[in-house]
Amino acid sequence: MKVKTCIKELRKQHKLSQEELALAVGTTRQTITSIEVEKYTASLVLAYKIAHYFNLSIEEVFDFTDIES
Amino acid sequence: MMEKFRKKIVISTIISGIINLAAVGLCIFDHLIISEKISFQPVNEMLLSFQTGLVLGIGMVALMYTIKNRKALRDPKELQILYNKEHDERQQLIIQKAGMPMMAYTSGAMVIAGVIAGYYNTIVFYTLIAAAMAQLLVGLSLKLYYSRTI
Repeated sequence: MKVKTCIKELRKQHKLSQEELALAVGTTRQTITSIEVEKYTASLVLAYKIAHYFNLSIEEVFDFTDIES
Repeated sequence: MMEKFRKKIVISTIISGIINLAAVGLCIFDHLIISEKISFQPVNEMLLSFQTGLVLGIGMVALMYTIKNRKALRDPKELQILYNKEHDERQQLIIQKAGMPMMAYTSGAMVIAGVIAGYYNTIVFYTLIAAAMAQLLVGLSLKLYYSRTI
């Protein structure tokens, strides 16, 4: 099941590199890349950390409409 | 949490340093002492060369870890990156899917068994080493495959 995200857009808004975001949320640059290209679905903990970093809720960062339908 | 990880890295650096010294010592022992001076029976040249290569390989990997760990210990950012890499959920998933820890352990055990068996039977030595290499190759290929697809 693929989960769409707006991490890339949020990073651009905050002028952050993948590496900087990875360092801030305690993961690797490769994982951020995989989440952005929808190859990998982040765990609840990582999703929370990313959303919390941008001061948003998980639903605002990750799009669950495919799962709901 | 980071302090605990730092201690782990310090211990890991010490161990890899010891392995390095042991590898250099074993290489010298193998070639200068066993092969020429105190060998009372004909030494299988292939087995000796394989052992030297294996010990050198282990020494090189240990040296790589020593350099990486020392770099991380000097720079807090590098230490954080190393911590993140070791605790990364995607990386753990890839390793699990590739069946890596157990496959690497069994391959290591087969190499050790092969080296010991080599003193008694050359065919067993070749068979065990070939099986271990094939197993490692499968594990590494799976790891590479999942790194690209996950």
